[in-house]
Amino acid sequence: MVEVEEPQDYLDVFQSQRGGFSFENCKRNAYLAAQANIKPPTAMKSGTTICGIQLKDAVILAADTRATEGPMVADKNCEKLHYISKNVFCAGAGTAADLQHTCEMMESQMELLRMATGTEPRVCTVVRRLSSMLFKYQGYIGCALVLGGVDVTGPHLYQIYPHGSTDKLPFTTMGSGSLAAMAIMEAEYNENLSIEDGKKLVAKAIRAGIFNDLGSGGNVDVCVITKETGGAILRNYEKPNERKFKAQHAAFPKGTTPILKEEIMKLVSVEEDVVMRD
Amino acid sequence: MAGTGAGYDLSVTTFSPDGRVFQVEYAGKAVENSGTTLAICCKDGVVFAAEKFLLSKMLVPGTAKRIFPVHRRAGMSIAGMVADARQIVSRARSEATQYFNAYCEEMPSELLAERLGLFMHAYTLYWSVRPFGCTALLGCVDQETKKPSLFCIEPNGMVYKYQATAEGKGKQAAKTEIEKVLANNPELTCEQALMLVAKIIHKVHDEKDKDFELEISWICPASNYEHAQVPAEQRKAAEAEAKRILEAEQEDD
Repeated sequence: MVEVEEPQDYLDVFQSQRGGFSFENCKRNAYLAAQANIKPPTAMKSGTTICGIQLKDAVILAADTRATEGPMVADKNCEKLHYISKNVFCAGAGTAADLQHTCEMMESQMELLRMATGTEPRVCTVVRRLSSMLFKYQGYIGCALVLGGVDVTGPHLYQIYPHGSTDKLPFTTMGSGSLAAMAIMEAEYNENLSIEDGKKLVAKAIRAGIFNDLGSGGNVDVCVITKETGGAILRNYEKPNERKFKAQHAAFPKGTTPILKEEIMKLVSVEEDVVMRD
Repeated sequence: MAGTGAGYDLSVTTFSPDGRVFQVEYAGKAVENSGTTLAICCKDGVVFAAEKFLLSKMLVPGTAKRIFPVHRRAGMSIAGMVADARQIVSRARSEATQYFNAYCEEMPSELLAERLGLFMHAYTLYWSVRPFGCTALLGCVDQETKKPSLFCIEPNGMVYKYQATAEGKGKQAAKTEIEKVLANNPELTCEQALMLVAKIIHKVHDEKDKDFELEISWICPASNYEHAQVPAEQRKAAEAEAKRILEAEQEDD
């Protein structure tokens, strides 16, 4: 039956109050799953296609816009490109809530650093902060990021995995649609692309993910970061899945459905007296 | 000045009626009684120099340093109690390395100077500790822009940014000399500054004091923009040249 817990030693209580993640519900969840077949609600994941390329003096990131909740599309046009600072942006795959909050935390940390040092934050600094944090949480924060930006040392592109490992690459793709996108990248990337050609390449890679991966879909968002202009998100740069037409229903004329009986019941008595206030 | 503290100078947590904290000022006296040290921001780097008194002929030359490396591109020269200064140097080193570990970027010099100011100031707030009896001259060169900067952090926690400055016994004379040097050579390089710095230290050295050893270090292209002691031959050559010029000047007088 249900186990009676013995009074806890003060050391156990102290240990449990130390902070960080508390795993006390894991036992209960295992019991419920085994005995009553009750599964906990799953977090909203974004099966995704994200990619990035590093050019001679710019970095271009791109992402699809489908957010999935199991087999259902939760958001057809969500934003997967996050602002970290004027010159550093990141595309995120993984748990939507983790991504949003992690990126907001990085944004505020970089702003504080910018005010303290009087200099623009560097891409390597953001990478260091992110990987330290993700490693600290041992992969429980589900953020897989493609991070890119341009700072005093030039353009840089990194990818960061949920456990905290980082890679510095000239082009990269992540998410469930990464294989489809990588095929396009490997075939067509070279470092001498112009910014316009670069935008076309990343959009093509994301489209490959949109059409060939179930977890990715919707529109293509692109972000271009250059030294002069900083970063600019081109929301819905391409819309390959626009609904061509909506079903039109003319309003049915009154009398289409025959009325057999009509009965009106007075449920509330309404008093018409007007009372003057004094 | 001694004795005017009356009863208000017994503790660092007491203000005098005219708004002074005497203990912090007395800490400054410890700095004023030490050997001269100076630092100059040249066009291409920073040069530090210190007048290190030799308490005994048995001391091994080159030891008991007064100039310390803080990180690759920063050094600190000390005026005052060097034993107190070791705490400050240690703190500066850990601030710089922890900043790099956290942000993957070399710590900006103003930030480092500010942190040291906060650190030194903290010791002027509590009854249980005493202020540091030393002033730190922190010189850094920025990794990318190669721009030199110099900060002076005093026992009361104030941080000043200087083009060039001196502390210790002969600081007034040294500052005057430095101003003359910089007025004549606004585009002074570190190599040129070596001899001039040696000359200043020798000039302001008081004959009544003990013998001294000149300690010079720099952060400049010759040291690959890293804080390093000036190589022995160059130091000796600079000192010899400086002494020669000083004797010539004295003969002229």
